Amino acid sequence: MSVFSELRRLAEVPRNERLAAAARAGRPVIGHFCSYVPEELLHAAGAVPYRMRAVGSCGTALGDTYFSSANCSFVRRVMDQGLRGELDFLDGIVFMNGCDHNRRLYDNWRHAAPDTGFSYLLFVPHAGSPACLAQLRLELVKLAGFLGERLGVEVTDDRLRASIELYDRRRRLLRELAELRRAPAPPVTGTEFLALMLAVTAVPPEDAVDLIERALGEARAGRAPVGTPRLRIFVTGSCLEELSHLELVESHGALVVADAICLGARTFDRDVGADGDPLDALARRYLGRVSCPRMMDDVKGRMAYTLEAVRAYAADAVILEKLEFCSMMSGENYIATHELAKAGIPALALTRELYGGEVGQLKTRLQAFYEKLGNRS
Amino acid sequence: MELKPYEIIESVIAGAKLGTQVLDKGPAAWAMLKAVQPFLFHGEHRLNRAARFGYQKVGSGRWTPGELAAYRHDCIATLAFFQRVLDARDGREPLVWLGWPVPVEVASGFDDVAPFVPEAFMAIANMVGTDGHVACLEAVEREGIADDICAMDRVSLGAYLLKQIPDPAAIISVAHPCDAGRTASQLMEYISGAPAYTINTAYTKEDDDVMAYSKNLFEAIAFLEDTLHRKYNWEKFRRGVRVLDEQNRLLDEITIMNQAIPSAGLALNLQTAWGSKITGSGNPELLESARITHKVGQFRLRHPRLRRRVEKFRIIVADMPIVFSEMYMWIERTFGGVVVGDYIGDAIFPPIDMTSLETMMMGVARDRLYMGMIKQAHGAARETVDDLERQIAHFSPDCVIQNGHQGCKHNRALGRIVRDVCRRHGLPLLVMEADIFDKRVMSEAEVKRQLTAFFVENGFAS
Repeated sequence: MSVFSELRRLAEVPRNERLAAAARAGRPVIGHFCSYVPEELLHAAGAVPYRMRAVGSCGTALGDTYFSSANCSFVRRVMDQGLRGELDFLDGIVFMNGCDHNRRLYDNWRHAAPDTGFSYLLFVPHAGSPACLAQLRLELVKLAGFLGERLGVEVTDDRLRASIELYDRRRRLLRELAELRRAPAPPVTGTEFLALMLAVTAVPPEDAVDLIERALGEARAGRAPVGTPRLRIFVTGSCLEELSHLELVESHGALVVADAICLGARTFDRDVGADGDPLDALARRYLGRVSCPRMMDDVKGRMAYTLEAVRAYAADAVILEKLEFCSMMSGENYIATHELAKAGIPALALTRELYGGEVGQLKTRLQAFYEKLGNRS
Repeated sequence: MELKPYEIIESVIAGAKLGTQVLDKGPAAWAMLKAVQPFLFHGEHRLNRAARFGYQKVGSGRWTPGELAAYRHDCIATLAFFQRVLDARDGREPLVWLGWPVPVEVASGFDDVAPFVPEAFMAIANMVGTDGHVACLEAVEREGIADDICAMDRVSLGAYLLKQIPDPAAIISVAHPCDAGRTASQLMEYISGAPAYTINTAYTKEDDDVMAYSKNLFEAIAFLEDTLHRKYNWEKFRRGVRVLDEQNRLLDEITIMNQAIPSAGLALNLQTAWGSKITGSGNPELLESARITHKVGQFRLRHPRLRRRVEKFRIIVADMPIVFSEMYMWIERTFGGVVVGDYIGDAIFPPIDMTSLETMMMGVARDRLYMGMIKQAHGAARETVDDLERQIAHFSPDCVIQNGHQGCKHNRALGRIVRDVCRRHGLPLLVMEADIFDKRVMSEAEVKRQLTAFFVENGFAS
């Protein structure tokens, strides 16, 4: 069986046998939100970091008893899953102030107290100034102390360095695989790459490295699932985990070749490195990697990243993805639309609800956009 | 509504000038405001559109001569602040935009830099009638910016797009309290193209966190010195912080006076002080305003019978009050309900340690963390919930109202928790689906209808 089939299977379920095996071996499974949470710290404390997702969610009925209709469908779905007991395999969750919806997910979680172990809120600064680096380091010290106490494993420098090395390796492998997508006939579709990202953030990182190596092996062996695409697409946005949505984007001859999304480049951009104090290194990496709109002082950096990636991956157009009620992406998409127009790059902004359906509407918009692009050339 | 460039600021300046002159007349001003009450109190129409907001700002004909005398000082501070903005537009000195939670001291400590807070437009855009907010919001909508960003931030953005705000020489943004603020700051920076520094505020009120925040404030001042080629006047900073500390002490006591039964009835005054402090922290005029308001409160506590006639039931507004039209005085006059505590005006500030610049800067940082809206919105919900619990314990309310601000994602996510708190205390809770700045979401008439129904259903009115 192709490793991509296995990755797809792992991506489509909230829990899997690899997590269960780790749990049986005595390793706690700790959920975390957002690509700004340093998984290395969780791993150094003996845990298996599990990237939270709404995969397998059946709706928002229970989540809506806590959140309003003006809150995003991601947190409403995850809350719903928590209240239904579908996340009871977790031994704790590290929440983060990624956005207001996520921040309040922590509060509502504590209030509802589903059976998912401890809840911890990590504060990550919203800028990258020297004062913010010091502030993040302080927050990481607090998190390390908390995890050490709760999980009974002291987060020593040596343990942290070993975890950093493992995660840097995972990042390097992911970048290698992403690089292969520059080819005229990329060996991996955007949907497959997203499935891989979902899978490798839901299994122990040691297993993740093995899975990515196998995927790299298959990709290098000349695999090209769709041949040469008619349109090469760069996707940017925040929370995007629906494989069916990317399949829709990739319909009609288009192929996603690169991205700047949370479960994509933001996760594997830039290594932590082995030099110096590991907490300093973590703070530098997490505030220095390709940012998202929650970071206030890096609009130019994000736009430069997008323009460079569009060039490097020979993308024909950009799709700007946004979940309904995500204020941050609303602002970001306005800026990106203007910057892309200045650079002569076609862009389409899509707003959707997570697993919200609306396939007909989205399809119509995508078809119209692709036809417009096709007619241009 | 078509707005001429700078029309709103010019209207504020004209209104503040008029207010200063009229309120100088003492009891005659009080009588005058009573006399125009039938024309301005009940609703906005074509003839009273421009005057009604100013009238609401001075208590809708319900304030006493003492309260009016206090507000005269707010008018003087407002006038000076906005006049300086127009002077800066004309090239007299550089203008620095500050996100509203940024301590204004960061810029006001310079001798020759005009501070400006774009979000001030949330409070002043209806100086030209409630269509002022709508005009700003529509400008943003025409630009193609999504309407899920908080209306307060979109009003500021729209004001800039409509040339109501002069261009900045530099911007100091702030990472809190919410996504909308962070987004709007980035949009403002992008559209204006001005150099910017982002302050990362504290997430808790613990010393480590406040220390980190104050380091950001020092960095922001250094950034302005470098960008504007001007020296910061630390002596001016010291003077301002002393004034702030003294004003805070008075505001603390005024807040506590509202806890009495009957209360001192000064919630709207505290709300005004909140707004004035954002732009004018450290201004001695605001200290004078607080002193007079404090005396009004003392008088009322000594003569409880006067207030007992007014106060039939007590309300906590557990969210931001409606801004496009003032409701407290309407509730008081129509139903005898008195707002004793709210999200904005509740002014409990820790004293500032004056021993060094570092401790003073920490004091300024802490001051902003305890300011209404910031204190509840930053960090985890316990900041909001503990605050509501404290207000319920201290202010003895009979009911709670949550306006439900459409763009306020973090507050909208707390509905269940707030409801459970109220239920535990046996307090009726009204949650409205209004937007505090955008009357298109829910009109003044509809807000009044829902309030009326709530008061009647819960036996506060018949």
